[in-house]
Amino acid sequence: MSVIQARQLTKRYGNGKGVQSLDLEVREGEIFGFIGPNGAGKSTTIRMLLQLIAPTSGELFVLGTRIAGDHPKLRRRIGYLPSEIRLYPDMTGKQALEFAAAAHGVDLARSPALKYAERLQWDMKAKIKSYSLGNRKKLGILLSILHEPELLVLDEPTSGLDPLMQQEFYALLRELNETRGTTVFFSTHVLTEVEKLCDRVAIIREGKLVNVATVEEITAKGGHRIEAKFQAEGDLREAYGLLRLDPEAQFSQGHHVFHIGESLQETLKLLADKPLADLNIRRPTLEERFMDEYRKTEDREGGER
Amino acid sequence: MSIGRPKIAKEGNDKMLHFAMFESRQNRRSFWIGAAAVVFLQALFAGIGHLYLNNPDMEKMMKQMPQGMLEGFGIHPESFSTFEGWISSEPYTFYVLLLGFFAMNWSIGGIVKERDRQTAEFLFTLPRSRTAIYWAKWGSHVAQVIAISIAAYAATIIAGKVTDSLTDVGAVTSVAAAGLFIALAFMGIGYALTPWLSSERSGLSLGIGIVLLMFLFNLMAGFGDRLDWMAKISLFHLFDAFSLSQGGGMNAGAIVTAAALFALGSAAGWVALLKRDL
Repeated sequence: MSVIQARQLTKRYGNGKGVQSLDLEVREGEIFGFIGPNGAGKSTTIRMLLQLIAPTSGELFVLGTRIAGDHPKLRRRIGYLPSEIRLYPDMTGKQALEFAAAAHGVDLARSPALKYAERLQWDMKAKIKSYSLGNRKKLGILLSILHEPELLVLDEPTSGLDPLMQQEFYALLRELNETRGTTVFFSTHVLTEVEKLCDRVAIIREGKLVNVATVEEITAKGGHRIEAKFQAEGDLREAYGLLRLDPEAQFSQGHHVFHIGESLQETLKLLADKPLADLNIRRPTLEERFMDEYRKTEDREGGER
Repeated sequence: MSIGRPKIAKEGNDKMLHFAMFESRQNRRSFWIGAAAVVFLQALFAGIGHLYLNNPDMEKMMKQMPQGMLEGFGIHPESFSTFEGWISSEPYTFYVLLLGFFAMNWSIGGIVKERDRQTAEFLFTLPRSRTAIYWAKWGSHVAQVIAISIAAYAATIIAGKVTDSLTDVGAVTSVAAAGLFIALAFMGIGYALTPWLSSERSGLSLGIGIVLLMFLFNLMAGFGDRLDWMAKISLFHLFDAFSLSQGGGMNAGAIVTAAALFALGSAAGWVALLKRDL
């Protein structure tokens, strides 16, 4: 079953930004990464999922319901963590939780929010105006999960959290996903998060989908990234034939960096008789692949123009 | 898929009350300020009313002042002959002005404050419809305005009784009701505008501007026959407060106009909220 399905989804704003003809499917129980730089259309898509804004055209289905107007009952099944947590400053954290719990028809004492609050080491008695960015984020996390939603929509979820809390948050997400089958739609521009957590990833650029695939598929497409240091000093790209393997091979601070497709065997043969001081072979990270995809799309569009 | 959800607490209409109480909590400070200002001013005016009544010095002074300006403040030559007449003059004008400010502030701020403070993303993603949230806010504001008007009315009656100047409770009731109707009409304008604005400060300025403009129109209309049209578009001129103080009864047309502005404005705001992106 699709938890989110967008067909030719378009949202146009006066300034031309928004999303264009988005075709997207998020399956039940998966952790889906939605990545792109600021202004790419991630938040616009999320705001359509939450019915804060209406699509200009196209269709959007969430948990089997076609989004057309306001669907309060559907929102009971969705948890939402916005990128910036803006709440009522004179309330305490606990009052905010109680208000949201009552709106969801949930008894706060029986909800998992209090247990998670302890895990996140969060003080619920203080007023929201006194909270640091991290504490506001923790409140946002608790608000998004207190009603144990079927779908969690997270917009830049770890901004403001320290590395320890980020790890705790990842663990919490995995737990919700594995034990309760919660589907997670995860928008971010921190690609290491996506690599750690997501099953599949969609890359969005200037309102258009560039790619949808599993993290492994995306990184595997990039072949291998090789970093070689030779015993001899200086730029040896020409001398050792590295430019034949990758015409865009780089030399920087004594290291030769180049990319190869699936010709790993051939590369190793070439390097075998060279005086190597150090060698590092790995799949490219998602970030490297993302930048690569982006550059290619930009070049393609630049060429078309 | 989800393995069951936490126990659902008491469902139903009490959630509407929950949201209305939440809105009241947000407006708590301005409510107490508004209540204190309106009630204090009305009690003060009513308490000193006996000093103005049948006071020859005051009558002499009134004759020296521009007639148009006096009319602008609802003062008639006979206003100072009874307590009810006095209440329908300057106290009534200030009552409408002050209550109008606060009523307009709450109504025009209803939605725009959520947008401007960026709390709309939290409030409107809760599992309550925009309709329910809008009308809960509306109910909270109306209750606040009615509560203040009842308290101001009670203060006027008590002060009138204590100073032994009150003779016709019905007339004072009509004057107070006229003020309340005008405040509700202002609220209608505020509701019609609130979904279209994005800055709380500009919303507040616009609301106060509308109330002040209508007051100025009413004031300027007294300066000459050619400016009569200004009175016609001013809500301050909707009821003849002096006639009400003399037991004239409330004009059905004025009631319908105020109620229509309130109802149509409220409905327009609701429809706009349903259609607008947040």
